[in-house]
Amino acid sequence: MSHNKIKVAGQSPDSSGNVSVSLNDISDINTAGVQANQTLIYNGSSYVAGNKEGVLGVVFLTSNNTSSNYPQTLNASDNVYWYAPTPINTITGASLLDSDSLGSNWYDGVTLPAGDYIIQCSLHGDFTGSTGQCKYVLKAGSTAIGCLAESADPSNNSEYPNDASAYFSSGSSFDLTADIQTLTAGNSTTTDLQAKRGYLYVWKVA
Amino acid sequence: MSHNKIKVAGQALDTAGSVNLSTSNLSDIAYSSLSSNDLIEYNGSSYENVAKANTLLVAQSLFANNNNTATGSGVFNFVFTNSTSNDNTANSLFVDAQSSGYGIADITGSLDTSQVCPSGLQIGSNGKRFYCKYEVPTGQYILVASTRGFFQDSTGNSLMSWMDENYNVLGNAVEILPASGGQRGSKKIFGYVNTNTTIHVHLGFISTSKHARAREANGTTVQILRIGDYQS
Repeated sequence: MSHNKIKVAGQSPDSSGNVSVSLNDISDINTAGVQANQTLIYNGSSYVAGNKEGVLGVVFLTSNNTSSNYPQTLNASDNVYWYAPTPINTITGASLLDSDSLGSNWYDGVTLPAGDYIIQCSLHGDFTGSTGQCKYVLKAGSTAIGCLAESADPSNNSEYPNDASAYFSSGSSFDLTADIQTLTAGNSTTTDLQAKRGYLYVWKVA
Repeated sequence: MSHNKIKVAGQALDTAGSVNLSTSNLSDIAYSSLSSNDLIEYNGSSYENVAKANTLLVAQSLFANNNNTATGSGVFNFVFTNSTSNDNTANSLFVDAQSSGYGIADITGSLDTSQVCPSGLQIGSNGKRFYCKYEVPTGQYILVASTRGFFQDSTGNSLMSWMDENYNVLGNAVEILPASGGQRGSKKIFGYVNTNTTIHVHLGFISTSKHARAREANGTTVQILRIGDYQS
């Protein structure tokens, strides 16, 4: 074997006997498509170009304006339900809840892994008249978190916020729901308003 | 020294005189339980694998809101129409961020806005900034907006949502009404988009009536947060 047949990482020596090796010559590195400020990330078999930033996981229950009537009459013993035919769930270890087994793409919360979360949601209830009100609050397990919110009949001048929001940090897995606290003049004839306008948005921030 | 004793990064040459190198052969890299999504990070003396942060690191964001009231004449006569055709440059809810002061568009990273003055509005001579749609490169984004209606009369109403350029609805719909018509439901307009190409998003109208394009000093805010790479 002569010297001029020696190759290191696929690269031959130059006339001075030097071998220049770049990152992409290393067998488990592929820098294809790399852009400024990117780093190398292991993908299970090799290192490829990617962004340094992490990913904020989200759960987003919303219907994107598709229709489905609210699946049960609002009741103070129940949770708020959200309609999500194509639910977004990018939080590793999170799973959607349907406590009353209603099915048909309706969910009343999510089981979340340990972490820190920013949470917000809304309810758009059906009522029989101007006294119609439904107060609800986000809960981690049985613990109320964040602000009390309210859905009200359009002719009801209540000044509660429409949206419930909270920040919650937990060292262990927990069930996140929005618990109905009080209800007045709920309508057993339900509409698709909650399907189109209600949402649950969870951001895992740590 | 014979050839067969040559080693490169601890690796012997094969019979053809070649040696392949992987990162683990390099003298200043030491792996421990290497897993997917790990990065190589310098620890002060050598490189080691560390997990990619799985926490919020917002690298790019866009914020814009109205911060002044229109003074031009005639703006009240122009109303929005339903977002069902190629009209998102002039028919999406626009933010009028003035050329100075708090509320002017703040952008980090490669997000962008499209500055379009809807037909009929008077921009004036102060370089006012009308933002009608927002360019987002590949990645995952949280879209947040709030607004209020400016209607020609008490019978006006709008049902609004975040939309992409093909008018796909990207989140919850929000009903915007005149003050006298009740304020039912959430007024926060949320969206989420996960795209592997550069697209434009905007605040569109699922339905609308008598919603004037006039500018208001308050009540309209747009926020776009990049929360991660595109997820296939």
